[in-house]
Amino acid sequence: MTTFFNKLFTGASSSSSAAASSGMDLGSMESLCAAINELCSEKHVSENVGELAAGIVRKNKELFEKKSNDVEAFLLHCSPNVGSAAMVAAIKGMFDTSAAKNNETGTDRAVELLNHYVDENNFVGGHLKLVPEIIFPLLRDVGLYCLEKKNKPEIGQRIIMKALGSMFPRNGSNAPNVLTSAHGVLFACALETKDYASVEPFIDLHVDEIANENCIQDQEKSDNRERDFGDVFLGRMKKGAAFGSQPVAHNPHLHPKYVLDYLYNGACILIELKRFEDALFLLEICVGMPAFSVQDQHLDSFKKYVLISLILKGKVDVTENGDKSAIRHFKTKSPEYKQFSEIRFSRSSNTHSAVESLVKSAKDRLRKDGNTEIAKYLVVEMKKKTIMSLTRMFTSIRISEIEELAFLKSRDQVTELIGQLVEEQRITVRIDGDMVFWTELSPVPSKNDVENKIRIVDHLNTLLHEKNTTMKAGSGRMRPSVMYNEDEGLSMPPTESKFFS
Amino acid sequence: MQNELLDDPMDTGAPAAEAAAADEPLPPAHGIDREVTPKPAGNPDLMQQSLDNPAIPMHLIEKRDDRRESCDDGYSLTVNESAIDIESLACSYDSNAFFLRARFIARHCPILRADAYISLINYLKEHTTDITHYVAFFNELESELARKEFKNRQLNFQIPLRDQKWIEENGATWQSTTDQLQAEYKRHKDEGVKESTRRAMEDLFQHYMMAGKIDEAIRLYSRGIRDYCTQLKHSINMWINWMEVAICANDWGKLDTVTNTAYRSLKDADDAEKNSQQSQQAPPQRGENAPYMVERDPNAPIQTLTNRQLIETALAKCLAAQVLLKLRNKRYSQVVETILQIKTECLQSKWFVTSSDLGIYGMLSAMATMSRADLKLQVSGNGTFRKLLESEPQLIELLGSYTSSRFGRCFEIMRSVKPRLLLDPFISRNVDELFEKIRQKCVLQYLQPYSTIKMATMAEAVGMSSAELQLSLLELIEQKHVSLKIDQNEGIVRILDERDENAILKRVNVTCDRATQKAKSLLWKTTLAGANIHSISDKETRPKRKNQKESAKFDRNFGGIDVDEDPRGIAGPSGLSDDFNIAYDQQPQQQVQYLEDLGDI
Repeated sequence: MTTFFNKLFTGASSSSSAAASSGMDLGSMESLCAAINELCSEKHVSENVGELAAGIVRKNKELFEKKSNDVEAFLLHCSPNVGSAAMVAAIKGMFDTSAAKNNETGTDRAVELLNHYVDENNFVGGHLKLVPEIIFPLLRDVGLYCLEKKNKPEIGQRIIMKALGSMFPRNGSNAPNVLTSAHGVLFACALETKDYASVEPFIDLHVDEIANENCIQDQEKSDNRERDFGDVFLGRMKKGAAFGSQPVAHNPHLHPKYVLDYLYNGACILIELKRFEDALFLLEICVGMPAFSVQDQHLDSFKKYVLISLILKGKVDVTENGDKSAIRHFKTKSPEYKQFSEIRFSRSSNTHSAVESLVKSAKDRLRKDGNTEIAKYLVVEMKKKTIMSLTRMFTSIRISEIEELAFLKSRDQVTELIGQLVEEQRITVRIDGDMVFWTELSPVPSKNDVENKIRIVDHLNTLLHEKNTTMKAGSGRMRPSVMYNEDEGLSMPPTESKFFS
Repeated sequence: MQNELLDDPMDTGAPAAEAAAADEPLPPAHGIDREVTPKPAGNPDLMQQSLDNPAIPMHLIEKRDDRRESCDDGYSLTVNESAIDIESLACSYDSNAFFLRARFIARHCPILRADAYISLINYLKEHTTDITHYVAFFNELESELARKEFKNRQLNFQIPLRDQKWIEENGATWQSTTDQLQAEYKRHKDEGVKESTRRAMEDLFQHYMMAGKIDEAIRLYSRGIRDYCTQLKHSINMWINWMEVAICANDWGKLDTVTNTAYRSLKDADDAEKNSQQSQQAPPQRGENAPYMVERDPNAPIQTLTNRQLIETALAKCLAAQVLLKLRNKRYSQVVETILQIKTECLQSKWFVTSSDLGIYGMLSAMATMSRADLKLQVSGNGTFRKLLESEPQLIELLGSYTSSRFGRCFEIMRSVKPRLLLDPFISRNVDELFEKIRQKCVLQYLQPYSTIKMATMAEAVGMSSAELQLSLLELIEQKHVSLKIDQNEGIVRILDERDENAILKRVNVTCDRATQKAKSLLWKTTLAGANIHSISDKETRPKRKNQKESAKFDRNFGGIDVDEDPRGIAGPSGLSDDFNIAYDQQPQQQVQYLEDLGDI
């Protein structure tokens, strides 16, 4: 594996050898490693070792950045069974430090190390989840690095998939569906590699949680702020503590743009997989998200939403997409898609010809937006809808009349479309001379199926009530201005660790 | 010259830029006017020269005529049947109403084109000074007579001779009269006497109307005519004129605005009149409650009756105009409601729409939109509608056939009256749609008792061909009015049972899927809210909104607009201009007085 990475990342070298040959002092990292390994001793309960290790890591985060040269030695001596969190923190420190210095050798080495440990299943997934502020930003940054810097999206995809798979196994478990910033990058890599099937399991239409990648830093900030207030205003410690604790509850768990990435990129993958209903759902969520200023992905989502909605429904229900003013803004920004959004399928109006004309006139815009293939699919689907509408109105019909009523150009076209519909198992056809006997294949749900769906609706309704109650009781009613910490707390001034003291 | 006088900002208070923008359409018309009616009225030789040179003036005349006919030019209709008697048309409609309808017939009915143009030419010569249309129609008539297809055709009217003397005389006097009237209007306006200004404005308006210059008339009325109407009868006359000129110009937007405003004003006047009558024991007094009332002798019942009649006549015309608007906008159910509100006995007999016209419009709209029960109650059993249709026995039979389910006879009558309706300029565009709706209702009614029926039998019963019937059925299916399947092999139609268990299960399944989708969408939002993610971008990153400036501008403009005035807001400044002029006139006196006071010191 090391040899394989050396071929991919040219210029990579072993920093551990260099460190060993230089005779650098590894005392601090060595002490940290020893402290973590001691958690394996009998005096600690096995279930708590992960949390304890995570706590140690958070308190010594700056050490990994300062001692990035000792990372490999640390990784060699640290036990993955208890030190997974520390190991990823070390790799992250190495990666971030190298990236900050534009040290491509260092970043390549960090990626190589991460891939090695992830690929060998050395990390304990449960422990990694305890440091969301470390593992998910690391996966995201590594994925982006492979995608944009190295033009090797397949490597980034594999690393993220293995890591997420270890943290959130997909083997039928009842684990909650978690949205992280790494998911969006994973989907972006998959769109480049065109490997859609392998990432499909990671696309959840129903998300239970959003990873809190900011909370821990905010808590530490709050603690530091309390100490500062305590030192300066000794007699007003309570007020300072109260003031410092307020921002914690209202900081977003994740930068909203990562949610946008998840929704948009996930929808794009589902479109490639022809799962249009699910893609439409994600796009609808994306388009309906409120925003003070329209993002590019926001607008791109609307464009895809229009096309996919036409494919599925033959019309665009813009009134269900939340803010109407936003919809108007989208239409203003994209006049071609405004015309698409005004289409309502009607056989007698010859909609498929109108759509085809629109696609031809807007082909440049569609090409720029990367929607050419979807538009072509839309044109064909509109023709199929025309045929399907006839199957619902006739039990038997002459072929010549199909051509006339469907506004098609030739009998061959009619035959081709009917053949495609049969292959897709949407209709059954029997031809007797000039007469076509056909029927639509629409499965009739059984009573049990309907009852199950009713139970699902009831369950969702109950869940909504519970969530609404929780939000009313909690901080959901407070909507302060959104504040983000872009540097993720890694630029905090170094402080003496309590552990070492 | 005339534009400078009328567009003086000091006179009307209108912004100069707005006046310039409003005048943009004028150059072609003005150019035509100059060509047709040159200024030197005393020099007939120049007029003769311009008329002897047919290329330029005729082209400009044609161009102007085409511009005024822009609404009809986009409507391609040809009726190859003499469904209307032009002579009867002239007897049924008066003045501009006849002009409008005859011109429409001339454009869309080749068989009646020559007769229509002859009638129009005779009308213009006898009742107007419209030499522009006179010449244009003469040219059209000559072109029509020169066609090969016309050689074997017989005319119902005598072909008139071009009266060059009449053209010259009217062309010579028109401009001088225009200048005189404009000067009179400006003088009275400068003097600040409202009644005189109104009278001068009215004279100028009628002058424009007589010459067929509809655009000029509309523009004149848009410059604050309301401010000079101090009496009820003047306001009523103003509203009626405004509605009529809007109809003549095919300006439906203007007509919508005018009728809405007029209706509110007339209703207020009507309420005031009723209150006045209720308190007839005490003498009526002017005040806010009676803005349109004039003090009068309570012992004069004729005056009271006259005011009452004026209001009711104006209201009837206003509602009739609204019927035309609703018909134009395809609001058929509202057409019926509005017609039922009209006091047709107060409607002028030869106006743009007669009682018979209203009856036809209302009946067809009702048949296309109402259920049979409502139709029997509100139309067949309504004395008002029977009275409106008393001169239309064929249409009464149509209504009876429809309600009696005699569909074959119903469609036969529809086919026979269709050409005539297509030549009605106000319902022509709606005929096909209305007839299709009626036909679909008939088909639905016929299908109701059957679960399976042969196509041939049904086609025979409803008087359609199999192809026509199939098309109607397809439209009904696609509009979800009926659920059926056509078996062409067997030639039968099968009605689908929507109460079938499978159908119900499918519908419940779809409903559950929709509910699930909605619930999941809401859960997404709660999850985001739980993570304190409320918006994609921060408020501080929001770009400066352009509508803030527009909102401020709107606020400034809104303060100067009277909501009852013309939407363009021209009348508002015009109303203010009078006060401004008065203040401006008084200002020098104040200064002089101040100087005098200083002199004393």
